[in-house]
Amino acid sequence: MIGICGNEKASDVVVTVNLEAQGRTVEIKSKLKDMFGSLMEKAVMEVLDELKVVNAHIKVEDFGALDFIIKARTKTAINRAKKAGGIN
Amino acid sequence: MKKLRRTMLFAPASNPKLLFNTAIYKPDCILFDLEDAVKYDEKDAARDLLVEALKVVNFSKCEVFVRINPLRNPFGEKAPFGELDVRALVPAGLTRMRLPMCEKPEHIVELDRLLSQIEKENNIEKGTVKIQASLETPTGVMNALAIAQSSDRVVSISFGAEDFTRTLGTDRTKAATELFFARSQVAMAASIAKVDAIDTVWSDVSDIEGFRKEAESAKNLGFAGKSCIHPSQIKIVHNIFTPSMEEVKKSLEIVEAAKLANIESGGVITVNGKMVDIPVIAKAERVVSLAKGAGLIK
Repeated sequence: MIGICGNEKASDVVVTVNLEAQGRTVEIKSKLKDMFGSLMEKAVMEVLDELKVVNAHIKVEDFGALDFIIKARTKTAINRAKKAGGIN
Repeated sequence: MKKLRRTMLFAPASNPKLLFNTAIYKPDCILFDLEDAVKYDEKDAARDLLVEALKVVNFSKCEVFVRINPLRNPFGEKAPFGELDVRALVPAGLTRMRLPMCEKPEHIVELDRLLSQIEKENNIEKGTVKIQASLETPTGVMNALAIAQSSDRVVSISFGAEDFTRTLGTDRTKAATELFFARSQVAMAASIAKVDAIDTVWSDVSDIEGFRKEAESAKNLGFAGKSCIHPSQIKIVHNIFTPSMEEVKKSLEIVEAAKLANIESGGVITVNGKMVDIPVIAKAERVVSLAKGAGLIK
């Protein structure tokens, strides 16, 4: 149950979601991790709350994306992972 | 004051950067595209991007439209993405949408009903979301007036020349004689229905002179504005569709003289040696309204 969304382009982010996990873990790869890593994680967590996802490993490969883009890519990746696992 | 729709700049909603930097170019309207510019397997991602952008991005003074996917396929069956687009975007705050390939009033009525349902579900005042009908086929153009009058939600009708010439069975030429009747029909229908008519795109970005001529002809035919596909086209259209200060000055004199003479119900006066009657006053009022909308006068 894996879903991916985004592109390796400036102002974008590639988010990979694995729903076969225990609890929530967020892995961030970004040149700006020291400065904005916690905000990136917060954006991801807000989407997990909104979509009521309890178990997920989220990998965020950032290329300078704003928060709303991280949120959108996370949402799409989660829905794609659910679709791949046959969950509506 | 009239809401200006001189320029409508296309931006594919699948490109994250365009969601926050298109307003920088100051078009009157932005048209985020979920339809032709977005690949089939990226429709979900583009829709999600747009939903999140609508929640947080300040688009300044730009009026934001979204070209949704059609509600029906060419065979009249329910299409896969149109309703999903509407259901996601309205709760996120979208109030303007363009319905592509609109061919008959029933297409607008169907969208109108769906919008009423979604507005009710989300406690949004009924009628908040407005529609621009995109006329891109001979059938759509022939039904332009009925489409424009099919719902109070319709605020503008736009003409799409690429699909129009494809379905007509001809090619698009720079002389645009093949479009003359259709563009006139769309502009007249919009005028009767008191909505804005928006002209088609000009695809050859490098041909600036061709674009300028087509924008001038759009203005002369009665269009309120023109769709743009590149930021470099915006200034050209704004210059053409914005009255000159000389025109504005003359129009202000006419409007003021008409007010003093109290001839709204008929009659003729003279302003600077020229005869002024009701149609001339109406034209002057339109110029003043455009000038106010463009920020030339207060």
